Amino acid sequence: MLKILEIHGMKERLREVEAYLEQALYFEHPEIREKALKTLHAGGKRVRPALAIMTAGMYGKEKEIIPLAAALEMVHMASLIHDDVVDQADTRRGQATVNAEKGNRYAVHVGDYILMKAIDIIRTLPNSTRLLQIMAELSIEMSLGEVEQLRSTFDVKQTIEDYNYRIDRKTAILMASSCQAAAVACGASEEDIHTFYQIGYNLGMEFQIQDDILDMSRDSKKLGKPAGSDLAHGIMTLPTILVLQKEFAEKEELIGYIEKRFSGGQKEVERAIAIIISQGGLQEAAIYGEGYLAQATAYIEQLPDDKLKKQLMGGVKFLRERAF
Amino acid sequence: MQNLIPALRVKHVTIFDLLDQEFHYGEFVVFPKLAAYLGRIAAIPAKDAQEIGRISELVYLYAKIHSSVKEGTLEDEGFRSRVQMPVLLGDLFLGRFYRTLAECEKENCLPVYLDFMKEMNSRAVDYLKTDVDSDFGNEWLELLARKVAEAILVLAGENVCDSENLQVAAENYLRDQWPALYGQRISSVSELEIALQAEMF
Repeated sequence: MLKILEIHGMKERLREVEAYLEQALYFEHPEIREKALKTLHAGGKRVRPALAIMTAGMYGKEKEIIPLAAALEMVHMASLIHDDVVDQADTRRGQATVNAEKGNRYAVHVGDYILMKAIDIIRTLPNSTRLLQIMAELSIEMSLGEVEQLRSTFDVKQTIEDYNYRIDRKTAILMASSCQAAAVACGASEEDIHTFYQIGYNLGMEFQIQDDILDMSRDSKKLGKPAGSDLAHGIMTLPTILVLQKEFAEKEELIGYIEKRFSGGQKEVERAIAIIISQGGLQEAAIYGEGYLAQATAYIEQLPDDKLKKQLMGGVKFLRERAF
Repeated sequence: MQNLIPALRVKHVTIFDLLDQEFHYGEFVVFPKLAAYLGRIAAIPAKDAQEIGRISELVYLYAKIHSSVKEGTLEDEGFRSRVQMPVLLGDLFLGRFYRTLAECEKENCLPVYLDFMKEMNSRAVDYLKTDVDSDFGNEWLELLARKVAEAILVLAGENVCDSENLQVAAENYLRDQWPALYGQRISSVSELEIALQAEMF
């Protein structure tokens, strides 16, 4: 389990979030309720609620933040259900996805219903207008990032800026918004809201870079999906982009596999990954990710609360050591 | 109605380039026109009615696009424009709806639209649980029209006009105007701009 859970009192607070979610997802509509609760019970890292709780800790409002932490998790759940339609995933966390069981449109409407309920919670919270704006920007940016990801599949000419545009919207903004929204809900100063946003953003960027490294370096069993599945789907992640910027003997071979969309099957995907690893793609991506951790650390250092600083540094340590 | 144009753009392209579905002129104007009509009945400021029209139009586009998601697999031709893009662009319009609602300071109308989403998505699931290809036609259009009336009422104050009458007026307007408004097929932003300008003059 995540190191973040070892933070004093976090497990207890996350249990409260789970209990809140159990009630919030107990919808009147029986089929949607069943799918929502099944998604909840499948588990998850609960990183976003944990970030919100950590942020609220600075203001002594860990308990008051529970509804917002739960709503953030519901937004995440809804986005995963939609992602599974887009990726045509059959399973998630070992369970059949909603789209695999009931079809694409059904899954889209279930995701929409959960999102609607999340907003319904948010509108009752203090500073709800500002929170609504944060959620709106989050939804817009995440969609734009996903659209861009789809439009750029199998494009070997992508730059690091293109990659940053995508992961910024795909992952970092949700983590940044979790911290930012919690700070807003706690009535934090504008300076603190900015600092928390930056902490979440930089941790989020590093989190996604790590995910992309792990996608190529871990075996399928540990990942819960085939290794290199992003590359197989044409998604150019940082290790691939960094390697493609270099000149080396197997470059044309690598480009050929990608441009022909791995027509030779999994063997070609494995060969492509081997080339990327041999060219130092994973190490270089890790160094690049370290830059975001350093920035997150610098923002964490600005916080006045020593206890929170220590907790957030625990999050940084977790990301540095993360192996799944 | 021109205010809607930026919402149709997605980075360097538009929704017309990304989606494999038909749009008609009336779809971009019916809710702004309905809100203007109801706003006059309820005697609310024209600016408020315009904003409700714009907000409702974004909800309409979200609902239309998400309702158009097709079944299929990654290997199918057109999967991107019939499944993947509708999912993402529906989400985009939903986000733009929330942003516009907050920008226009119409958060007091949010419960009305959330209720629409609750009803629409519940009904869609009810239809789809028996048949993945089922289509619940214009039912949600009428539902949205009634919600536009409710939003106008929120702004007017409940005592200003009769709630039921305004909802009936909304339904009748949609029924009477929709066939005529539906009209010309629109396949680009420039076509829409020309059609909007033609109507203005």
